[in-house]
Amino acid sequence: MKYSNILLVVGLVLGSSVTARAQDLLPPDRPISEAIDHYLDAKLRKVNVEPAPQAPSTTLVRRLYLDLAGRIPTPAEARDFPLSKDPFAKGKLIESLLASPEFVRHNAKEFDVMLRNDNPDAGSLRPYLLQVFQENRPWDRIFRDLVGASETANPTKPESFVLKRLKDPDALTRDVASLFFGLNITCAQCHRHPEISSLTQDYFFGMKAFFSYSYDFQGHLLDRQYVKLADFKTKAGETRKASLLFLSGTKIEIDALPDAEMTKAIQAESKVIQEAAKTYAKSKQLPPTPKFRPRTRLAEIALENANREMFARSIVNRLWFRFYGHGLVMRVDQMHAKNEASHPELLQWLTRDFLAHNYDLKRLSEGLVSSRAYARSSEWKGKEPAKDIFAVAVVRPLTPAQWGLSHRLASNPGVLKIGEPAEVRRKALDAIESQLPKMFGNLIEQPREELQIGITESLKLSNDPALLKITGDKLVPALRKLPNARQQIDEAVWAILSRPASPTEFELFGDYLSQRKDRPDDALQHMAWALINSPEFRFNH
Amino acid sequence: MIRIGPGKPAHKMPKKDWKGNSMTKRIPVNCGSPEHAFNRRAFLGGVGGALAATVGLDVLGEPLLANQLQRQQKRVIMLFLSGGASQFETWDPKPGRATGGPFQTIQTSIPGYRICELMPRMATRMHKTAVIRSFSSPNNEHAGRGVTAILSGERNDVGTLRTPSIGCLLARELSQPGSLVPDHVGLYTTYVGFNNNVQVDFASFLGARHEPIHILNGLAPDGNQLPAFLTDRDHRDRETLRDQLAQGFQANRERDATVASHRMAYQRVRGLMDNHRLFDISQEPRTIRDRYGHSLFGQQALVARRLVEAGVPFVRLNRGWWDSHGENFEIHASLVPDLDKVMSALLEDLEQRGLIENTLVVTFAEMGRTPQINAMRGRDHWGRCWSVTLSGCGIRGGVVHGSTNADGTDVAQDRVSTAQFFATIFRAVGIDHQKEYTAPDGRPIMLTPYHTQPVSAVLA
Repeated sequence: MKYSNILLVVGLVLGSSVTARAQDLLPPDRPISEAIDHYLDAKLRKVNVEPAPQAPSTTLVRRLYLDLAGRIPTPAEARDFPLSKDPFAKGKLIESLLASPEFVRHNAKEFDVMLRNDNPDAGSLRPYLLQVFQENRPWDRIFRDLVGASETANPTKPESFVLKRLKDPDALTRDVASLFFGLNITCAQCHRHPEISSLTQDYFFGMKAFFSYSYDFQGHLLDRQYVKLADFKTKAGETRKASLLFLSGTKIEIDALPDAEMTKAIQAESKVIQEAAKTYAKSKQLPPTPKFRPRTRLAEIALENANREMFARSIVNRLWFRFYGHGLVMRVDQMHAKNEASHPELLQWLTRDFLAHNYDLKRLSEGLVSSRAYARSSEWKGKEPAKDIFAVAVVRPLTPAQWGLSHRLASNPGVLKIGEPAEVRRKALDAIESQLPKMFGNLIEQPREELQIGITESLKLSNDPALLKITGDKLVPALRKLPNARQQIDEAVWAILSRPASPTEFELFGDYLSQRKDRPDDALQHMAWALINSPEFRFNH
Repeated sequence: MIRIGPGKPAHKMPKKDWKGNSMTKRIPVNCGSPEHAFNRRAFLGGVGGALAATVGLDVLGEPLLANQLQRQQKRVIMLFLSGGASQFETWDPKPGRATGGPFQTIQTSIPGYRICELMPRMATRMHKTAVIRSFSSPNNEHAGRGVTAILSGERNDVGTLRTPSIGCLLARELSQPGSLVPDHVGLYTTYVGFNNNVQVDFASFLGARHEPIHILNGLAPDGNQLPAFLTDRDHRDRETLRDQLAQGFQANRERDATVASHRMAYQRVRGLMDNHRLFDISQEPRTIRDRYGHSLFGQQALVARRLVEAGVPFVRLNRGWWDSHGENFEIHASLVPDLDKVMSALLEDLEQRGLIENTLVVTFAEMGRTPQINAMRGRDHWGRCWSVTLSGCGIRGGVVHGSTNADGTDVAQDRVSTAQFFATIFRAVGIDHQKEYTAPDGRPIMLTPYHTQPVSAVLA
């Protein structure tokens, strides 16, 4: 089948509306963190806002552990860092966390949730993600894998990203456009985008067409050769033909057969597929693969020089959102020219850097968490500054995975030991994580915008006997062995909140423990409960 | 010295931050016309103040306060007849027809309107209730997509988007600032089909706060009681410690609404536990308890009344299990009189307490039952035409809206869809049924689908 590309000049504005010339940007050889602070500081000066000071080192350590390892530090890990006089300690900590298998685990969980995009049809891609983050596979290759455009088969089946979504191609189209190109085109399903008038229904059905050839053959994601793309009705009532059209305006022309011949060809192909299905169990033979593979074409077009910036910007902004709690462009699926980034040059710089370094997610993550802006305090006195100047750190609720793992570590601080072999640690983490669904179920909600924490969570954590029994279960006996209340308080606060106790807390808990001298176990248990149920534990602050 | 002990005053919530989080730049949404922009609802604003701090606290013990506080607040009780009750053996009998079954009809207080003889109590007070006999929905299942759709107002038209259920929408719309009672309670008499039915009652993007607290097969929620190994004093002191920590943490993070909701969630724990009497129907006079009867459904209905009286905006009473594929008439002979007794007692009680003006009571289900009587003398699943009722707040009593044909096999007049029924519910309690939210994907979501019209004939 012949096909050709036509670049449509329709002025579809998906890129940044402000495009600085490359020579006007900060030089590319600067560290990522320096570029971040350069551009954020410039904006802060411009709007005349003094940013929050750097967070205390214990807060920063906790933040880094939660963001990179998906858990709070153990008391030993938490105490380790502030003791260090090494000026490069922060960089070394970031480096070691990123090098650890725990980063691979945590990153896989984060991407798994992101790639699900709240689509109930989507399954977990965790085995695949563990594999690719282990080798730090570049994002463009991951994208190819996920849309089933890779040459080599992978036993972890990344293409199930598409396969599982085939029963709802509209949602699949939405997810692909949102996740990889930062643009939710759902509204173009029924009408043109209200803010980008050139984003017509043609684009929704054009993107959908890339997946219209796909089908599930015995669990394999295959393409048909012959498909009649469904017509769609515009809001004005006009019937239009769908064709393969990428968001940038690149259109793939296909020599479609005349209607009657097409119908025959489709029937013939269906028959071949049915026959193959009958013998598949024995023969393991797949039906013939057509030469033209639309999903592979999609990946090629998306990664062409003209379009790859759009592809890169989207993940840069999403990772920024993950670590800073607010995107350079908000929302992360509304990246279009009418919705300018808060720091367009920074986004451009980061995108250029990401492309220059071969879509290296780990390098980008390292840069993002190394800035002074990332390390700011989340405390702010007085009138709050706009979120998009990043003057103060955003308080982020823990994810269910972060919270569950942290709850177990806080309750049993000895479970991970510094310097233990990787395999021992992996087993320990596997053991803990396998218990989490049973222990906590859906107690903690996945964070999202405007999250309201419900009474079900607090009620269960306050009164559910099973949950109360595992709150500080191993911590309390350990505290009992300490010689005095002061040390018990200090140790409990380190174990749960990853910092030393404040004078107020020594007084508060000191009084409490002394009033209950006759029931020391209960008193310690209640102290642990109060700490684990405090917002300081519930949030990444 | 920091005092530990009971009787600590409720802390005033910082006023600024709930309203705050001021969005200096509007976050663009998918369909970004200005009227789609997400607006924080008023209930997120201005938490604090005397009213907020006392809602739900001890109102039952102080009738005067109860009156003052609760008069204006609207609430809804939904009697959900799980499994699907038969319209023939309740509101739309067809005596003498092949589809009619063995029961006779009785005259109601509405001239010319007769209902099944199994409902003598409701018959005498039908002039205060509106019946829609022409309700129609595509759903014929107990669970799955159809039920998800019916509980969110037939939202099949919006693809994969999950829309909140009517209960969660009402819970959100009618919730009071600073209320310490739950926004949404779901009581179930039976577990049959429970897992599936609970899944569909979701708040989605409205937030977990508006999802139901479930009471299964009992009269009080599980986590409501003090754990056996804790004294009340310990429980309170523990929370005082926690709240002290929370205050310190929140001091310079007042801008964050999620942090504030965390503190509120814990404050509501005590609110709910302190109101354990809400669930304790032994507080009610014998005469009242007898009036409701002593079936679990009756007792739960009495709990529901106590809940709405204390300010809970939405209660769903799930009365099962009506799924009469066999022995339809025996099942209805046992369940309908109980419904009659409980529903009439509830309405009468609400009236006598001056609550009916602000409380809407509706009957609803997944579906009705077939006109055809099958070989096992049963009736099967039937969405095409069945009956729902509305009583109380905002409703014109004595209206019988719509009708079915002689055999009850189809709507004859004035078909009413789920969306229209829900629009009617919203309007009855004073909510604009076309009010718009923005879903996470940016799509504008109205309380009911576009162009839905309420059934004005039943509205006061």
